[in-house]
Amino acid sequence: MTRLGSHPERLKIGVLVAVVLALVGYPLVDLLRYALSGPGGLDGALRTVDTHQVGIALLHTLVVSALASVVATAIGVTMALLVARSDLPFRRFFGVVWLAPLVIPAYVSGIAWLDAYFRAGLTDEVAHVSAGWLSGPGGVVLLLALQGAPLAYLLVFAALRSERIGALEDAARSSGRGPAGTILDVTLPLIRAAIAGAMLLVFVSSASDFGIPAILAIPAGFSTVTTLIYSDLSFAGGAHAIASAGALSALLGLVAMLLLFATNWVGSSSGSAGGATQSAASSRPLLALGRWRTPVAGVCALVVVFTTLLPLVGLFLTSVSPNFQIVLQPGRWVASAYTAALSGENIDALGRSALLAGTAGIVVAIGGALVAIVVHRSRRVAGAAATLLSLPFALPGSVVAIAFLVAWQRWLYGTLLIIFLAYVARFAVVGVRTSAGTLGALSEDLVRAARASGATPRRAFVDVVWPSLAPGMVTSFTIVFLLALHELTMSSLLYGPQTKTFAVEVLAAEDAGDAALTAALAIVVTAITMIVLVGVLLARPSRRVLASAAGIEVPEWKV
Amino acid sequence: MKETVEDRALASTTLAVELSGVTIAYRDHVVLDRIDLEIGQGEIVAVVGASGSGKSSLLRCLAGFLNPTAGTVRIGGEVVATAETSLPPERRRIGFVFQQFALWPHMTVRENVAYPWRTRGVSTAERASRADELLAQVGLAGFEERSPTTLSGGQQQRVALARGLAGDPSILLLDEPLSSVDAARRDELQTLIVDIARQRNLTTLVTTHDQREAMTLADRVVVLDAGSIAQFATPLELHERPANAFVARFMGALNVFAVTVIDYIDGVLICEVDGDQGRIAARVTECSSGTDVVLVARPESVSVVPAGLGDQDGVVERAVLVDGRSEVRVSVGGIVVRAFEPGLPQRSIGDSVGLILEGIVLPREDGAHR
Amino acid sequence: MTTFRLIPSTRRHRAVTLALAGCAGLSALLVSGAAASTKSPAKGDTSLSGSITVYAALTTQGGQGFANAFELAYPNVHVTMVTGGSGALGTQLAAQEQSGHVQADVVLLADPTDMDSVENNGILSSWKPSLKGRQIPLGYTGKDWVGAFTFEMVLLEHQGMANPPQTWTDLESPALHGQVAFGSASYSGTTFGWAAELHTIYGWKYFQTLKANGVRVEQSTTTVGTDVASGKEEVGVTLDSVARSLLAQGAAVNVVWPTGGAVPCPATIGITKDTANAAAAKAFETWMVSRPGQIVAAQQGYDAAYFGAKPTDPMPKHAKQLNVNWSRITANQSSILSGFAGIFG
Repeated sequence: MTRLGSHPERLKIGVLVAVVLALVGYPLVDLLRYALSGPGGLDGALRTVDTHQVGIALLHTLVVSALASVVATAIGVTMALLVARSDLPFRRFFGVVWLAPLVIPAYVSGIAWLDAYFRAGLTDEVAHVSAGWLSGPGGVVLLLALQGAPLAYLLVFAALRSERIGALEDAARSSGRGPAGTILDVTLPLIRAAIAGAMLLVFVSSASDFGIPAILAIPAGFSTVTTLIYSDLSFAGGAHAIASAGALSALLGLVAMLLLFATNWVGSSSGSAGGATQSAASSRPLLALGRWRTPVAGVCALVVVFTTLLPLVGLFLTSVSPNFQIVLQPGRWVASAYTAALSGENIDALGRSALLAGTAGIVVAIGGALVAIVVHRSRRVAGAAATLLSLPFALPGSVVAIAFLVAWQRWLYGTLLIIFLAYVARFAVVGVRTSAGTLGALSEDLVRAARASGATPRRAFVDVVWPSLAPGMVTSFTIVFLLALHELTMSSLLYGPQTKTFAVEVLAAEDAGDAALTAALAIVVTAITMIVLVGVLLARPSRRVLASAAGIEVPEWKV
Repeated sequence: MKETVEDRALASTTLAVELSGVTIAYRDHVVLDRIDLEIGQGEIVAVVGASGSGKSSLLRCLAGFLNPTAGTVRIGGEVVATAETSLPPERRRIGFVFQQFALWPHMTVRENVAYPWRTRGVSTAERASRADELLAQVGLAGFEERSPTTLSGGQQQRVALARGLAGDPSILLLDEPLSSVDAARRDELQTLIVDIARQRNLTTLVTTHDQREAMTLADRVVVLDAGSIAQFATPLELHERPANAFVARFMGALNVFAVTVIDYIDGVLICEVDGDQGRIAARVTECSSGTDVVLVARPESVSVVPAGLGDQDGVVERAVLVDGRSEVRVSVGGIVVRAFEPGLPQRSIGDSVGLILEGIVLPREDGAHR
Repeated sequence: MTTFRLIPSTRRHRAVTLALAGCAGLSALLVSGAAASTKSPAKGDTSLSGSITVYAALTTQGGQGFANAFELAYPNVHVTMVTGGSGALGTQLAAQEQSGHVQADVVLLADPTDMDSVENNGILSSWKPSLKGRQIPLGYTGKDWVGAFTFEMVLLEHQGMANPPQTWTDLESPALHGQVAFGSASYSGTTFGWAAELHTIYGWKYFQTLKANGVRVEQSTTTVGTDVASGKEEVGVTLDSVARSLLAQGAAVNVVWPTGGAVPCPATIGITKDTANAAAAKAFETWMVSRPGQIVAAQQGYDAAYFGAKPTDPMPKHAKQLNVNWSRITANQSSILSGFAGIFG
């Protein structure tokens, strides 16, 4: 009665439960039944798992993810402090540019780094310098960390913008503490929940990432849980292969879910740190860089050049160079790869991917908001159902895709609908979490004020709750659109003769050994991503979208 | 102004607000306990009490955000809530002003104020002109197109007030309207609220935790104590005849002692303060409540005289300037009595002085101690 | 659900045309050649009709080449090609079998190990085309499938290297330290066959030496090919078809047919037991192992398995082949895989 409305909620909860069962419950149960249906049932399934191999892969995954999360968080905290607390020149520019790794698909950045720094890459051609270690555990950690750093940056930046922390820092300064001491004694302890959250998120997304290990770890003979799943399925997965892939992903999913719950817990204990308060922009920066301003800006610029620009240049050179070898002279460049990338099957696939990403984005944004509202009103049943919705995000994409194949393909084979449903299932959590965050922060008084002003519950919802959800829904849409546009693992298992996605075409180009076309397709997908993001940023006050982007759980950009 | 209060209450045939036996109880605690309250048309009523006393719940119950578990709520003679049925807030024709303003950030100032008319189907142009009129009344002409998030706390509360007045409510409910506003702006805003309410003859309920605020703006004051009405009276009555020690203390009587009567001769009460602290003498007009009573003496009714000339002697512990007069604390054998004297503090710590207390005696109740 | 099929299939025609016109690759040109050559001798068999779906572990162009050629031979049959990696296709098929409705009529995979998994999942029909009158290489028939054509594992070198290796054991030379790459037996079925064969001949010691010599294990034979072409690696072990495709795109590489013999690996074909158009599916498989089908395979850059398919067979005359016992290799799959993984991780 005192909540948002007084409608009978049973029907809505019923619909929610039905949707969750169709998208998550039924496919996963069916998958489980399938995995156990092989000879020997559970026993047989478990016997196919080589415990020694799994142990090594799990150890590798844990170590690599832990290192990546530490490095990413260190980078993210530094970036956030520089942007939010220093007088670094062009800090707003850096604040946006540092997010670039988020919009480049993992498999693209893997290829791009090799094109830039590996043997016969850009730096090798120009200066005979190459980094052979990139292909190996070191490169995996580095790229996972760079992929995760913007995530950590967003979370920490949002926490730093809380006015409360600014006041407490001022108190420390006036108590005679220097900038470094203040950061150590006040700032970092106050944002420790955000830091812990960032570490967990980067850990989870690193552990379930496949794109980077696929390109950098497999050639070095360095196995991770996701590459092991891939190799299991590579031998024409029967029930046993799927059972053992299922067992492996259950392992990964368990770790991921534990950490996600830990993240929730940390997140809830941090209170509403995400409150959008405007910080006093005119006040003196905590970190006055003084004569170090220019050198620090130089270092920041170099970081951008080496981590983002050069890899993309390497990728670009590969896409325009004939005969597989990087050519630096523009006169010898050829555009044939782009002609191919933007025509025929590829452009069709691009249209399909855009359609899939767009519809999935809209459905997840709106549906997620509806789910969040139902959960907000009646916590128990709906809350459990919504928790189930986060499961597909924590599982490797291949497992979700197999579950959908087993459960739905007899009716939906070869349609875009089955891919669309799998996307919605996998990314639903983005929409739910974002809207749930908004609703949690939405004062009930805003709704009461509307009711007191004569608005019915429905009217108050339309006039007050819905508009408050809108910015978050734009964020959800953007994130899901980009995730879906980049999605590879699921569509590579779910596509039919008429439903190849753009990422599947990238894979096909790679399979066909056409390096230039692969690079050109990767450039195209990156460019589209950039255009969409710039469009969204221009359409709305950018900081609000970016800040609210930090409110969602795991934008992990895995393939 | 005050003298018209009774007239006004009598003049109205139907009461603006009537609560009878209103109770709001959850499984483990009672928020409001059998509240009976009758408020006349155009009265300004302050609801005071400590936090958790039920002030906000009382307002929310009137607005329809909380439902009574027992009792009846009437607005303008019409039953709006019982334990079984409840008219939803949007059909009660109320204006509500929230402590944290609750302005909608996605709407402009004008859209916020015009909203109550929007819900009632008033045309866009019409409601815009009415909203602008209200904004001018609250001193915010020129702010119509601004986003509420760009305004100061005081300005935001003016917008909220204007929105509360929009839609022509029959009662105006303000929940701690001044507590989120700078002290410097509080007086202005308080005056504005009272002026507008008087001008429109609008029945108004204001919650506050500040007794001074309650005394200055209200015709009558409801003192709530743990969900029950301790007293409902004009500020003058509260001051002169507090119903119990709680009200007395709340209304600024700083000398409240639980005592045992030893003697009462010629209007002088001699009594022993509970806890073996010693004896004290006070002049009271009557003492018929038995031997265990509460002695209440307002500091301004305590006279400090040269030693030996009072009913008892004591030693000055502290003398400070408070609100343009001096507050003197005198220890009478360990019992601290506070007195107000006009002018700057004249006395030094350790001075020996005489004290004359003029007070009243109230019966003891549970919770009257402390 | 139909609302999601917003990209009309009529675009396919334009897609194929553009692919032919714009895409790099000799195979596309060869397809039109094949079409011309199969057209002239016969008008085509019109007794069969309907459509079939072929799951083929080939490149898009490669798969389409076979489809077009077959449609010329059987004008009333429409072939839908679903191309992809062996693993992804096998996984799709297994899941489809589980849900009770296999979508493919014909399955064409790159190697026997993958096909055996499909066979073990009960997806294939036991029907096989008659191979009478053909010389059948060892291990080119399974329970439910037959070899379609042949991939050869060969050496690929970046042009201009000083002492190019001539045979498998040359890879052990310290002069090639850190310059050699091959695929992973865990991901690539053809690489698995190659590793199994060399293990039979030289023992695990050979691979241990290669590991010590700094060899890199790539994911697939294609990755190995492109890395040699770009100069990331000097020498690679890959498929002759990959090498041919690279050469057609102008890559600076040389193919070396090892003096000890290339390792042949059969592409495998079978029809599904659930096929709704068994006649056309059988016709496709029969056509594939017939002389016209073998000629199309050879024209597309794959080695014919039967008939020698002269004069278009791309395999040079001097090239030697090892005699590989595929039945034994697939029987020992798990122990060979774990042996390989034990050395290369």
